[in-house]
Amino acid sequence: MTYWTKFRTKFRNLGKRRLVFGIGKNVLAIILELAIIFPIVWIVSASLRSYGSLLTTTLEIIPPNPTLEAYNWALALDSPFWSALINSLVVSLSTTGLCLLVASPAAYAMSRFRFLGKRPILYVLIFVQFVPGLLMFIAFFYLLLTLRLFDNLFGLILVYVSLVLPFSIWNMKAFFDTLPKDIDEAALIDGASYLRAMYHVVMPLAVPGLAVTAFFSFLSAWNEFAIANIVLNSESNYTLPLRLYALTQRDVSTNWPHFAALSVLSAIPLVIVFLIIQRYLRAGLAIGAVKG
Amino acid sequence: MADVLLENVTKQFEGGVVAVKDLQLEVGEKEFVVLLGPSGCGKTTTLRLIAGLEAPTRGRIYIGGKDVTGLEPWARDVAMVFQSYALYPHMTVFQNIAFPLKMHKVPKAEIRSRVEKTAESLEIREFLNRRPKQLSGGQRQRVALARAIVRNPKVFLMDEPLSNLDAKLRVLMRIELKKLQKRLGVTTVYVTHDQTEAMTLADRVAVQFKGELQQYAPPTEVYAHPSNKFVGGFIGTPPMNFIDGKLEVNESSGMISTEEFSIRVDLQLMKSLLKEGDTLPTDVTYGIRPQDCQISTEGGRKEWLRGEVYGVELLGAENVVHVQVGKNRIMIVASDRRLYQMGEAVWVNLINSNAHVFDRTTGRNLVH
Repeated sequence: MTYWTKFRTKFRNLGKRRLVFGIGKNVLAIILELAIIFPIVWIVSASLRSYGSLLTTTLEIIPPNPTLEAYNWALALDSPFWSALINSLVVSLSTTGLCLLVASPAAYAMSRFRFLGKRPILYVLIFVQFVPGLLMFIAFFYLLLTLRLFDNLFGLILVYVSLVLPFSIWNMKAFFDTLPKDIDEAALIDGASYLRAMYHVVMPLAVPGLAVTAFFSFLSAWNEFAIANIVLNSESNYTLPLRLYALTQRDVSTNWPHFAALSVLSAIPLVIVFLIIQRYLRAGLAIGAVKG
Repeated sequence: MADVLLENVTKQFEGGVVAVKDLQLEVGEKEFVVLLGPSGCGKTTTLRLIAGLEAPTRGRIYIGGKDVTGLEPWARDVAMVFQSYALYPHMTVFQNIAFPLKMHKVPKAEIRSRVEKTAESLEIREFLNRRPKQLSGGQRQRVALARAIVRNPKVFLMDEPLSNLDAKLRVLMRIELKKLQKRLGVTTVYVTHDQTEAMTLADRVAVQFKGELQQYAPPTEVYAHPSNKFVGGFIGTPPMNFIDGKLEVNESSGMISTEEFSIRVDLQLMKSLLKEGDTLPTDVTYGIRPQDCQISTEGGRKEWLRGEVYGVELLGAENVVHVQVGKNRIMIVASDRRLYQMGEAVWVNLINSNAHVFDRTTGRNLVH
């Protein structure tokens, strides 16, 4: 059989309907990808322009006279970028750390122990996720005032932790549920207390679950704007989203290339965190524990 | 002195399932006891109760004379081999075996020498730096064993440790395990549903069914004198034949009659039956092992029953012939290697002093 007849047979066997479906699927995927990528491309493009050259009537993705002027401004030693970056890092990393510290033991207990009120607690944790964080802000507002944690990064961290905890607990619980119970029971019999079994055996195996949870908390804290905008007042406390917003709130007209450059720079730490965590996202570490 | 003692232990799970019912079990020092029964009989729950992974609803548990009922697993000084082996996948073989020692705060140098010695005796020394994932099933099994014995615990608990091995390896490991237990002299409680394992390993077998202990005796005793119909039917391959009938006793002889035929009860058995006196029931089940039946193609013998070959299992050394006698199908182990044909007319002899007569309502063995 020649190559051509082979190809024809294959093509005929494929069937017209499947062919049309296959093409349609790919076209749809390309459109969706463009829709997602376009804003990013546009922001990067805008950050490479000079002040004033943004307002054109033609669609120019590649700027006519690209310049790094906006980045020079953003990365200058006296730029507001640095303090905001540090604030954002402090808030996001603390939120992530605290969240893991609380969520892991809670989720472990939810996964392994039988106790009174376990189901109601789990349902409440789902229910609070239905309520937008901002709606709960009246309660947060009151709590922060009482604790004198208004306009304070630690206050913001507490709010964030309470917002990401429900999902984190559920997520970690789902992961612990997939780990064979035999393994921690073996540790208990080998002489480990519950805490030591968790530390020596369960947590090392739960790294992929921890990674997902950590990334989620970090992402949530990093991007959050609305609550931070209420809690933080002094400019020295601003996180990156607030700093960006502040750029648009000046009396003079907004310097969009500056805004774009700052946006691009704020996304970079997130990309780095993702690249670090990605290695751990691979599950399957538990394979080989039990007969496979 | 009993090393493990379960006193009237009952375990009822949430939702009402009673897994273990009023269990009384004592395991002697250095004894190898096998808990045997079909799945769901409560044998694994019993083991978990001893380990402390479950708490009894009622009753007390003693290990080495000490009441451990309220103690957590880590305070009981027992070691367990799981069916799944439950090795720690993120640790090397060395770390796996060392883990119980580390948890008991044994000095580092001692850990090293003990792990190496144990690994040596189980022939896994060359794998010490590998991870469980890189080992075969049999090797993983040895690591699990090593992790259990390295600590010299008071009691070994084993939950179907051989069931994940292939048939050949299982037979090998069975013998190894028995030798190991005798050499170390550690009290062992072993759970299995495999009667061959139970018979070969156990000093005593505890047969469990529906949460209740049916019989607790040495393997030969359990085989020769099953306490009830369940034990009789569960132990032995091929399984015991059961024939329901009415028991008629005149003076010292007895017959068990079905609608189609009668079996004379052996004199030895009658002696035992007559001790029952007035309580001797008439509704009984006659139980006879396939090895105790005889088969022949020649008719005309007194008390032999006529039947027809229903099917034949060829096993090599012996053949199991299924014979239809009236409404009953009887399995017979024919050692004469004759090839019986399907549909062939045969005669069978079911009279044997090793047979049993069970009370049909309670299942109790009336022959002692």
